[in-house]
Amino acid sequence: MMDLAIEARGLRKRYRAFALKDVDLDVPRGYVTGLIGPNGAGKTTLIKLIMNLVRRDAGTVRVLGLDNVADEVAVKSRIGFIYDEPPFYHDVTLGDSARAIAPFYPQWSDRRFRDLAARFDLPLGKRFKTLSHGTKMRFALAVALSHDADLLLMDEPTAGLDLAFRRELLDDLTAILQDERKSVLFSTHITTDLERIADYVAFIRDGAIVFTLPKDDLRDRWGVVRADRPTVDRLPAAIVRGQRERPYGVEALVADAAAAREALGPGPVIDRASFDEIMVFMSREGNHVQAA
Amino acid sequence: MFKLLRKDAILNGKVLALTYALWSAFWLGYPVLRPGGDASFTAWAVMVALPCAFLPILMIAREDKFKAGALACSLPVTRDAIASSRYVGGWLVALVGAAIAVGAMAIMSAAGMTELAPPTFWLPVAVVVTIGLVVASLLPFTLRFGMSGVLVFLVSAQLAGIVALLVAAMFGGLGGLGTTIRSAVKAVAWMRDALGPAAFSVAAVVAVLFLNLASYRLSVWIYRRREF
Repeated sequence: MMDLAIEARGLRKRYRAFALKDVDLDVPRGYVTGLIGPNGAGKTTLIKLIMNLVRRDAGTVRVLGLDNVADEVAVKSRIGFIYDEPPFYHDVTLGDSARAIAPFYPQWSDRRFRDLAARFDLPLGKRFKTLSHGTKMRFALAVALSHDADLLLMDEPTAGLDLAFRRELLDDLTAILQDERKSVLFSTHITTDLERIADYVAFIRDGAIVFTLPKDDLRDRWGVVRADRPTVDRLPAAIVRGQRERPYGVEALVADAAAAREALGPGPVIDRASFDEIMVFMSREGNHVQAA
Repeated sequence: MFKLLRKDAILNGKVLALTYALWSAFWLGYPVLRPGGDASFTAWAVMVALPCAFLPILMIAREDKFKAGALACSLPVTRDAIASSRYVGGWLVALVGAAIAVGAMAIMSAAGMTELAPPTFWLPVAVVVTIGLVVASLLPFTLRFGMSGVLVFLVSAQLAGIVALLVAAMFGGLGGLGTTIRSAVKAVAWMRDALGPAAFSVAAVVAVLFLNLASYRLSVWIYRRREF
């Protein structure tokens, strides 16, 4: 049985215009799991439920083996949490913010924080509001990593960053994670982030987890069939995850490219599915998509 | 609890210090600039305690302004501990503000710089009761709804007052409302006379503390349900 950092079962949360429906989510311990889905799919709500920032209507969440509500203090002391908009006081310096937060974490290391601050070029004497969004995110990352968290939860950490800064941030994160094998769950709607650092991918749509799979499985096994309608209709229904009409025929996303090749023979084009394509096919916004 | 108080002190310390300084200058300057009034030290202290009682709201309003409520709730502490720290911290901030002003005024009075009537036995009681009433009334709203909660509370209180006046004018004349208020004041005065100053003071402080306890229980219940 897989060792899990997060185990959510039957998680429900209803808002007026949106509901998270019986979500089951497994985040393996020691790996990076990317939570991906279109805007409004429920990524942030799910992460907030794990952090107990919003109240669940039903279900359970176990984090590192502990209930996230009953054992809230123990759970949160082992989590490094990064928001898309870091919630620090704008008129307080980075150094003072870190000084205010540090005592809450028994494992906090001032030396590690200073090392990370130097590595990320953080101006500790400057007020939070004077920093660029990228530097704010790096400060949040430094705080999250300075108390030796076993699990990093990150809600859209790269949103709003330009390409170069995003890449730098992910490289920083990857380098740190490679050394320490922490568990990470991060949400994003940017597929290239997944390709860079994720080991597992969980796809959420309309408040429900559609799949959680190893990234390599998705990359190596999933494919896109481009052919005419009669050919696509010959595909086994069990492997088809979505279809869309195109000017030149039909595209079908399949969960097993080898099985599709076996079913169709050598003629039709079957490409590897990119994360972008998986996202488009599996998303509500996808053109004429009929998810299987 | 201590960690939460320390966090709030670090994150709000400079703003609080600036507020203390500006407000103290205003309060201390008022009796100096308007000599010859018949105000007592105790009445002046109540006038100071009232705005000081709103200082806890300043801290929570700052948290709202920076959308930093989620910061406290993502730290390894319970919601109950956060609510407790708001009350303890709120009382401390208000009492320190009042104490700074009262202390400075005492020095100024002793130096003959003001003409306030000397302080009475009632000064500390009046300050504590004033702060206690404001903190107990406003913190549940503030913890749940932030600054907009305070505004809603204050506007609602004003509207309730207007409605009460209208109803009184329509059905019994304003004299009825005045009679009710005078009766309440008389009842308090009667209790003070019946119990004696010492027992009445203790009773007033205990009543305010119980009110704060009830307010705290409500705040905990509310804050556990707040979503970020």
